[in-house]
Amino acid sequence: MIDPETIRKRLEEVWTQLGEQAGQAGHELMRACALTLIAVHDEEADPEGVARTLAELMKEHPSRTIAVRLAAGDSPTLEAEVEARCWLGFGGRQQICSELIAVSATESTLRDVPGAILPLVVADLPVVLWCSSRRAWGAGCFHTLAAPADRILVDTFGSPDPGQALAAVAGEARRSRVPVMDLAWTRLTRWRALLAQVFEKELYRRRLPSFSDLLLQFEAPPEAPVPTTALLMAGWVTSRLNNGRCRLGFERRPVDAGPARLTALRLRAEGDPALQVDVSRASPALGQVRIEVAGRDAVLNRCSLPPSTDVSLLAEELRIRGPDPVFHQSLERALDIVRTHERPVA
Amino acid sequence: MNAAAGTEGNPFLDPLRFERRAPECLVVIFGANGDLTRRKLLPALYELARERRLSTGFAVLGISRTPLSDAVFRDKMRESVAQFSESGPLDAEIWEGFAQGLFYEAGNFDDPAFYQRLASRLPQIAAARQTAGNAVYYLSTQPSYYAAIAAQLGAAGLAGGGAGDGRPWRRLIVEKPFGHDLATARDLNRRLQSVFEESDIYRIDHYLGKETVQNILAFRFANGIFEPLWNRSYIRYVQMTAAESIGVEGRGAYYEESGALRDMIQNHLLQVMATVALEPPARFDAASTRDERAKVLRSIRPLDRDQVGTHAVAGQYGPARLGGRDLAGYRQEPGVDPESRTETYVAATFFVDNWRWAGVPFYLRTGKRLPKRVTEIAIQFAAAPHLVFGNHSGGEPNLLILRIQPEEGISLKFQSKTPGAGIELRGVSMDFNYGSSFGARLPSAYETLLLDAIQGDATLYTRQDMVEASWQAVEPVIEVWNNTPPDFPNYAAGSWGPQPAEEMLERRGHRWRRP
Repeated sequence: MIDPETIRKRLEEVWTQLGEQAGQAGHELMRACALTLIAVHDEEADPEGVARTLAELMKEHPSRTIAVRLAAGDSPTLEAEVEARCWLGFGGRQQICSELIAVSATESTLRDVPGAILPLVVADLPVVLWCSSRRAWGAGCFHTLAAPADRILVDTFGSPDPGQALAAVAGEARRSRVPVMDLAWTRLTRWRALLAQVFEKELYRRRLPSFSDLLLQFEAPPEAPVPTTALLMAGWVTSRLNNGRCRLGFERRPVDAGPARLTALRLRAEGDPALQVDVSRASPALGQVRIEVAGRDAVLNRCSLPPSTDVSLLAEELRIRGPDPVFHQSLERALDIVRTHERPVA
Repeated sequence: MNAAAGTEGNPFLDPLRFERRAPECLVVIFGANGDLTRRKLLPALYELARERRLSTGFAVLGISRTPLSDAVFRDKMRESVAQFSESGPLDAEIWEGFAQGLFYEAGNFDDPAFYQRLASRLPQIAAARQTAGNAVYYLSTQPSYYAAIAAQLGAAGLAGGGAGDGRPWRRLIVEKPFGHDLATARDLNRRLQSVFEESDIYRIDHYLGKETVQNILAFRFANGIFEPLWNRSYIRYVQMTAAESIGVEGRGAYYEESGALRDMIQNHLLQVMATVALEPPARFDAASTRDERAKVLRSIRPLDRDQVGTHAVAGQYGPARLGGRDLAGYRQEPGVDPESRTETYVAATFFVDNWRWAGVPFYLRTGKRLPKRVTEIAIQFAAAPHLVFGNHSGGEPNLLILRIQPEEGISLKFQSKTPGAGIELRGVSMDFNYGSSFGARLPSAYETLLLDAIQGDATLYTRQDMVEASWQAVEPVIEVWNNTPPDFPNYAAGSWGPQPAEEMLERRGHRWRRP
């Protein structure tokens, strides 16, 4: 059982204790909180990895984090632990702390979680639900869990059935009164920025109506479907071009194992001179934009494109308030693509 | 077809998620061999490239007297960026892409033939790098060249354009000092404006590009609770400190010509003071914001000559022994006259004669070889009008501290009851810290300002009338000090400055904070 009053008391005790320790060590103690983050993950998720992500995230988005760890089965487990995550700022003189409430639950006690955590939400601050748990996402009580949230974050990356995963996000987005975002979309921000940069130049912008081919390259094991990142990218580019003539292709670079991921994008315009824009990853942390005019290299630009991490994706989403219409347009277009491409691999 | 596929706008932009980006352009740096280029400008441009903030059509042309090839210039700049980049080790692959857009041209700044060469080189680079002919000229030379370079650019047909006329735009960034006094500032402005439109002249004051200085405006005008208190009814005085722990560090010759008043007060601190004191602009754009800054600067009460002695204090540091180390006095620094009269410390009192600030002193101080490096603004509020807890309970007025550097942030000091029987008050602090609240690296002032200039946003640059108004504010001090032999040195290195600076505040019952 979880008694919110007991948790609140434990939080107060933690702060008193931290204050005493900081005083003895000659530090100042600062309590920082900008939101409540409810993070729901399955038991199988790497607990160290989740803990690291939440701890790192607190430095940029100090929060009261309620981390719900969800196990399979019908055990009556429903427990909570309280701790503070602290780090030294100010050149080591001041300790900055945020709160973490770790909740353990099972599929059968999940329905009791919303009532237990609702009183623990910090007043007057945004509430974000990050649900990486497939159990919770599919559960009947998901909407009760999401009720206090001002923003819902899910992740379709690595989904075995990308079409169905995107459809579920779109369905939830239509039902929900708050924005529902997919971290697979967030993974595309830097890629999209690289492509957008090309069309800052009037020289290329005026060719937009003549772009006729879009090829998306992804790496994946032989039988894996086109990943949601590639589908969303296709949805975004075609909905932004909206010239009604862009042929779409997907190209697989086979790998032995691992989740399918987008590796390159090629956009080609007909006409004289022919124009081709390639956005790709030149190395694990480096993005590359190559522009070819009439078959000759015109521009080669390289910039930082570090691999996404849960921390970077969540940090980006937590910076945003309100809806993201570009995502929803791209998502709807991606679903059209899934419907029209029976097996969209060239 | 919808507007997305039109040619007017870029349908791929996503302002919700993408950082603003610069249009294509060539940055031409005059004085490319200098310290500023090595330490600040190239590292800032590299950071912007690394963060994907620059256009694919971007290039830099370095100009200096020393003959160098493009390749040697690139190597030199690589060393500089590796040494001074704020984001960690230089990324070799990103550098490789960035370096392809670096070029170099040697020449004498006052030689017309050199500008003819430039007139043929710029289009070549524009074609190779697709910069659309747009150019930012950055004057990072000795100030005596500013007017001559502008004139030569004009004569070679390299100025003008832009302003929505379809031609490539050309902008001029000028480093401080803008003149040596009011007369020379006016003369420089006149000569620059004979070639470039005022709207194309960007006078850089890097303090205005600091995130924390910009945050003063956000703090004041994005919150409803502070602005009602931001006036003479609730604020007793404002003090601003820009202290450096180092000496002149090899810049003795330059410093001999400027001194602390010209180097810091006339530009940086008066601009920051204007940011603290300005009225709410109608909107955050160049015209509205700069109008309000200019109004404050024009409202600074001119000092009478006989007030200078009580309203301004000059200091110069002498030798000292600190932490077992001997520190040279200013007059012992290389390049400094052993009988130098140049001030390395200034404390000054200004008043802003308007309805909001009438009677509120603004105390500004700056100095070298002070105990620590710190820049901050402290706003002292009025004390509680009646001490209900008695006079022995320690009630002190509220203090708001805006920390510009280091430990960037904001603190509000207020009184709290100490736990236990009875009422004993103790000052406590409510803190906001940039580092802990946002985690991310703050962009350097030069990154912000260069990007602004490339985008044509002059909000954080100073305008002619602002420069002239700030010279007018310090002109009486300069005149009196020029005619009064100082008693230097008058403070020891490592101290908080000369005693008369303390007395200047004590006369009004105030005192300097110890930051």
